[in-house]
Amino acid sequence: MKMPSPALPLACLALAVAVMAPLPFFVGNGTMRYLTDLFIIIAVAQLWNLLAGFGGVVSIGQHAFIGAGAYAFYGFTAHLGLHPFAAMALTVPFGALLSLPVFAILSRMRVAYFAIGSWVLAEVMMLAAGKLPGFGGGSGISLRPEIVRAFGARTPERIENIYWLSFAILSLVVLFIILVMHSRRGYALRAMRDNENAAMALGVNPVAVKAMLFVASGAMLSLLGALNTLQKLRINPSGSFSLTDWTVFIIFIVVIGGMGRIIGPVIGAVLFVLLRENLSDLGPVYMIVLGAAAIGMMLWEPGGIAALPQRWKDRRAARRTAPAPRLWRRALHFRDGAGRCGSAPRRARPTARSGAPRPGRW
Amino acid sequence: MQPLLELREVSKSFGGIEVFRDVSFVLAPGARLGVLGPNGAGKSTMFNLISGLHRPSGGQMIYQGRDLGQMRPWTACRAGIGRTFQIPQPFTHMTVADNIVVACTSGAGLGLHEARARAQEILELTGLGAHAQKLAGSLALLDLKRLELAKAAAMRPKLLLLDEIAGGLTEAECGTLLEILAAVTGRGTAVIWIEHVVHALTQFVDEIAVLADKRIITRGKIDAVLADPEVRALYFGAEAEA
Repeated sequence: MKMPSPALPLACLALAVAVMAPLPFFVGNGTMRYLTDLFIIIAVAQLWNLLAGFGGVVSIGQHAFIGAGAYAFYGFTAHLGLHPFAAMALTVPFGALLSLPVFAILSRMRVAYFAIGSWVLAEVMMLAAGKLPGFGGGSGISLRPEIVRAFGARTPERIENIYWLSFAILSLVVLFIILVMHSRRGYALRAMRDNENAAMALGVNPVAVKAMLFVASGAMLSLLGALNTLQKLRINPSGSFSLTDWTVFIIFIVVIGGMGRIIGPVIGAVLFVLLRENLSDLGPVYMIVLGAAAIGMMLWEPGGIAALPQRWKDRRAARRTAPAPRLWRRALHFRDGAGRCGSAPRRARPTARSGAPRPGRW
Repeated sequence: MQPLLELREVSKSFGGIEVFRDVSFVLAPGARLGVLGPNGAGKSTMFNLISGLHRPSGGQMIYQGRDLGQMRPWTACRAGIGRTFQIPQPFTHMTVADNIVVACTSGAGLGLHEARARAQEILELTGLGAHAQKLAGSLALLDLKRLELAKAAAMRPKLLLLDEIAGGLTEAECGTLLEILAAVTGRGTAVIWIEHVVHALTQFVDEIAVLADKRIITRGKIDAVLADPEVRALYFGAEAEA
């Protein structure tokens, strides 16, 4: 496999921009709101995939940054009186600064403890958010109308602007990931994921690489948190810091779509949103179906849907080298080359599992 | 002249198991030292210490005037210490060329463009040119050993640590390996080479040290060391008595 040149993913991104950007001229408000939700979900999933799929850093507390971004946005506008645009931009450095101490604590923990520690920290941050004076306590508070109006005086105009804003942010997130993966850091990252000791012996500092990923993802998640607040129009601890929405579903999306590939979270998120629309009447059954689908995918094809074309290709190649046994041979008790009498030789299976997530492929 | 590397009474134990006791030696810039020793004598541990993967339990390691005992593997690497692993450690999901690019960017600090150019050069030198775009995980043993050497050499180290790179190779392959080694290491590169294949080792190094019983039992010119009765008894065992 050649080192994927950034040209292909960049071309796909440009195509997506060309298709999605003029869409508000053709579709209604309902569809636009729906797509805005989808963009935010894809962006969050991309960032989780950047950490876990590309970097091997498995955090289950990334919803902390979504919530913190939402609260920071509210604080900057309502308490500091900043213009909503400035407040939104400021959530980026805010998220980066917040992720530094979080990473400093978590980086001392090994894989499983890292995951659990990230979750505990997120819960602590959620509880702290409920105690903050001036943020509505446990039940939360609505955004002031003038803040919302800064994004468009009338509702249709606002929906259109937020659509473009969220699509622009999603595009920037994807662009960032593509550029990182094709930079020197990207090489270090892929080497580190394959073999950390060997990477260290070649000058890769794994702590620095992981810190870079964590800070970048924390910064962008805060921004997405602020963006999501514009959709929900209110902040509250359990909603803004939702473990289910921003971590559980996101992991489902990345696992189903394909870890370690940029296209993975896109496939997973589209599938997730479709399932959610069609199964939401079923109540708890919907969650059971999602869970079963995720576990089934992990067992059957750990590379997710994005790995299926390669899997089929491998299978076709295997079939070419070892022709399928004919039915009549099987019936006649085919005698194999070693002279051993037995059932027909089984179809050769592909030797290399296409399933294992391949870092840096998309 | 300031030595490149100096070990002063370095000890290493893992829990209660002592691997290394008061090992001292000095290596001049550009020197080529071969290391012999029975299995389990601590040869690979010595490399893990020098490359920063392990911390010594006691003693001092000085590299170019800096305390090597405080360096992490990546700082040791960026200071010019390159190593190969006894069991090849390729980045299996990356192409052979990209494996070497990692060494050039992270290890030697090159930009991507220069790194690709140097990787190409090293690929030709090590005879891996035809495999450049294959996944490293698909290589056979000889090519994996070449890749291991290519990665370490690509960062142009001042000190190159080679861990049994000739093990398991045929006579002809050993010859090729020596040619590659000569091509990738200039006279300025100091080399410490751990090897059981003595005839390959003696064609390359200037000096030999024998590591046994947790210490360096002798070090000197090749002929003198190989003729040493203690070495023959320890290392060649029954052959020495025959």
